[in-house]
Amino acid sequence: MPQYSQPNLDNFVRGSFAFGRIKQFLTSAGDIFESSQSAKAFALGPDSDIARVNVAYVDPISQKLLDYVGSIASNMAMVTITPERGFSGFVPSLNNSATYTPGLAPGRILMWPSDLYDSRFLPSGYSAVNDTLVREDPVIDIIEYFEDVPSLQTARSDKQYVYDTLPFGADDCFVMIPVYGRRRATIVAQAITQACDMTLKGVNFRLNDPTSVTFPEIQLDTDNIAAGAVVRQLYNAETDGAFDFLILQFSPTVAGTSVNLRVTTTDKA
Amino acid sequence: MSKVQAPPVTSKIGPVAGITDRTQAQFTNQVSTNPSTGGETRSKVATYFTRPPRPGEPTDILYNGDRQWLKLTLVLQTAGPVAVGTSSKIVPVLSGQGVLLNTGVPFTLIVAKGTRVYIAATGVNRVLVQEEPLPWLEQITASIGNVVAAISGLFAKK
Repeated sequence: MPQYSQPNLDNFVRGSFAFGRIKQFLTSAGDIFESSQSAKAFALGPDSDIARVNVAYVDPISQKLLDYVGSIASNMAMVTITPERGFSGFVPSLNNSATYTPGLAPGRILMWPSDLYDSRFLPSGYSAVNDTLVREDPVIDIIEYFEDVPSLQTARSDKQYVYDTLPFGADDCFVMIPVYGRRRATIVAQAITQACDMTLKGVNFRLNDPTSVTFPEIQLDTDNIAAGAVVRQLYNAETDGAFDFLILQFSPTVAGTSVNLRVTTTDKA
Repeated sequence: MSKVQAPPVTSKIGPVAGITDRTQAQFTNQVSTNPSTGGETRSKVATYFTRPPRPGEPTDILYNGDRQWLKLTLVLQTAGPVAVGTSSKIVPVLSGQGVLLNTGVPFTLIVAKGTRVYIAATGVNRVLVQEEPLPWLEQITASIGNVVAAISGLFAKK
């Protein structure tokens, strides 16, 4: 389980960096990061699994935030950065110059994921006794530039998850891969010793619903991998739908199965 | 034939204070030029890290100009905001009472002797500081002061 930590971007300034970077695993959808450094630009880092990050800053011109009961005045302005769109411009942190209502706290730049993530989620059919679960916790990667940037690079790098041998318990093995905002994913699996069934599902997290503890999953594809054979499955967000996570369920027909898996996710169409 | 005596070296109005030989250039050395230190003529380049203001603490002094004239060049390397000024009342930083530095743009000012340069920021920022002494400005100022004093003395004696 990753640990939440609050990075101090002042250390990047002291280290003569031209930018500050927040890169770490998400522990929950409520992870919020703050910066006391003013910025010249914001961009998603190349290693980010999270596709949408909110950046809030103090706006001296009061803005009205509309909600369903009316409107309230606030000094907070917010912008969402994505792989397609960064944000350029001087953003002051105004950390200790003033305090802001209602919390009477000094101003900061706040950053948090707009995508939902539930670290407690368990795939349907998963048994903690018999099954194994390999969850790739999503990485949030935000770059805050301290200097003017001639051209702002916002694109994410392709990501590849390589499992030489998946861990199997008494029964199935589940693999969860984050695909926030990804357009395509390529899944290549080989059943090395024994045949195995592979099922591909997609899931979107939602806010906590006290009446239900299960999240709807959508089955996208299923294959039977013969012993020694290699199977390829493709995930296309345009045709299959946009999901937060892909779930791969490997169900061995015989005990002692060994599976080699490689998953590649990309933003390219 | 009588001997012609040379005219007296002093004028009829008496000796003039401060100027004894107008054929020689006057040099008044007001600045210490101890060759063992040379501190008054050396340039200095350094990186200055600002800090967030703390309640009750005075504004930070970037340069205390009580020793000499100076050409001060500042380059802000981070986003800021950082304000500089010759008055300690440059806080709040964005109040407009100081001069805001622009990132990557050198800001140069000639600091007269006896002038302090204050700096204020809302957080940790990196500022390149280049100090170039201008000792001749002090000598020129001293020489001008001597001439003014001498002329004033002439009129006072009259």
